[in-house]
Amino acid sequence: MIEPTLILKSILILLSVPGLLVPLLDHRRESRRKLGFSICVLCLLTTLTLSAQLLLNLSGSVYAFNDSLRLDAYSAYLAMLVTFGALLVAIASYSEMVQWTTALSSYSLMMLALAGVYVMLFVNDASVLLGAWALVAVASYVLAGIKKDLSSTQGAAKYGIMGAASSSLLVYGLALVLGIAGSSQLVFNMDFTAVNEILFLGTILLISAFGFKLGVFPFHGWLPDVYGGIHPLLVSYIAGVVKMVGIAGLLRVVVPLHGVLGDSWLLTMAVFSLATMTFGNLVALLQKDVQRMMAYSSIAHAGYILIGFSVIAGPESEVAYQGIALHLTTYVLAKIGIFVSLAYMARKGLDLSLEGLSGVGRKMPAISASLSTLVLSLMGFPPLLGFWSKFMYLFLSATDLAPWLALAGVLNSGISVGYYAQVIRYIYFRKPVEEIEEKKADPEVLVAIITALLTIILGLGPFSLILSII
Amino acid sequence: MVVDGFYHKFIPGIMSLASILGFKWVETDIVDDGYHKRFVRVLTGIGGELRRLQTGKVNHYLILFFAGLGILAYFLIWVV
Repeated sequence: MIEPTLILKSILILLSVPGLLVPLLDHRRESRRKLGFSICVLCLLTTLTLSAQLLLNLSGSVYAFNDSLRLDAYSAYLAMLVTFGALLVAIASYSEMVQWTTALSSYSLMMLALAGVYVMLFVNDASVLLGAWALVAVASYVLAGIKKDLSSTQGAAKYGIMGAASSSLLVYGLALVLGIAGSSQLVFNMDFTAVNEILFLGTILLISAFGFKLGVFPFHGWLPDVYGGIHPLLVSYIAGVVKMVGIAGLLRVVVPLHGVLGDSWLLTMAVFSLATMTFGNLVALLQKDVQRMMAYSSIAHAGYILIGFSVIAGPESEVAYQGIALHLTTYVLAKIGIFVSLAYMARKGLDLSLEGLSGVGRKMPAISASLSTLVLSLMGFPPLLGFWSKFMYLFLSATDLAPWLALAGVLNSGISVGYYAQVIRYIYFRKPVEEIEEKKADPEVLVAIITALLTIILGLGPFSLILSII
Repeated sequence: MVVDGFYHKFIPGIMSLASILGFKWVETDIVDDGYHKRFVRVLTGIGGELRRLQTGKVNHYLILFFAGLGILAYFLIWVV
């Protein structure tokens, strides 16, 4: 059996060294850009294999790098999930991104950001957390604007400015909390019954900093402009991979501090959850642009995930943890598949408005079927994975402690049908407006099919395998 | 005979009238007026108001961000 620490070291080297070296290739030659793509895919494939090995070799918690990282099966699963997501995006990028002169930088940033996400998922020390946070943040801001057109640059600028505000809150929050805790370790061995306003304020600042990354209302302002404005391929990476930083922060830093808020924890997280899912769903109802609609749908799903966090400290803690992991699986697969499908449609010259997708189902059967399956999964349609993760785990976990929150989740799911169904209606029940053709060998089509098939297959039962591992 | 006559004379008519009125009530008053018009109008109305928060200007987003943070801090530290 290989040491888990050794596997993690190999993963970090595998992501960071080629990540730093790839931009040294000559970006003007297409053959070099293709070489950069091959290196990226190879590294991500090896990382995926190693992360699976890490998950299987872990039993209990293992500490690494002078206790600055703590490895456990739950985080290892999330790491494997994001690696798979990153690999899918890299594969899908072959036809489009290789044409960009910034392709090598994109692959570099994708690998470096993933290395940062890995460290965030296993973090156990505040100074290491700040380093990983900065690495992911800077890489994602640059990645958002890497296409260098007007909407990408605007989106990246907003993301960067808002990100700077949230980073400052993170630093202040950590300073306040760790100053009282007296250690930089994120295992808080202190008496929460004697909490004061300073500790309270620190925890609130940390919630808002990580809430920003997740797109929690009212810290979500950047999200619709970034997800709705930049190239869909880049959105698929930010939504499917980078967003995990917010989850990691909540799991590693905020959840251990739930004692600070005491009984107010449930109410605080529940209000955030309710506001986020309601805002996301109601505004998504009005969208005519599918990419922007999916941006608001991402906000709504952050709200659903917060239902799990609301009850994570209660008696249904295990179900909540399972629900969060399962719904993240649903979310990562669906968002990557959907945004990759949209990137493909945009590459084929389609307008990404609802009208623009009219009748696409007849012209692009494979990608339309995949897109519709993923949309149905996000809607919570049985027996797809989204149904189990949302209704049978996330909502179920809240039925004892906060039945009103579970009911709000169900009602919000009902509202979301209004816009998800619109997408399917336009794709299948409208006459086509443009003559387009689909090639089954296109990498985006392949990735969309893989994500849709996994959503169906996992929903038919094997999702319980995931639950047995974590 | 009397019962059969009475039944055939009144019951089918009453039943069909009741079903027409009932259907009209469910279809027109509840589904069309209640759901399609009022409920959807209310939801899209609220959505329209909420969409106004999304101005595209980063300073507005920052104001919303810090206002949310301030309300949360006030509520948790001084109210609860």
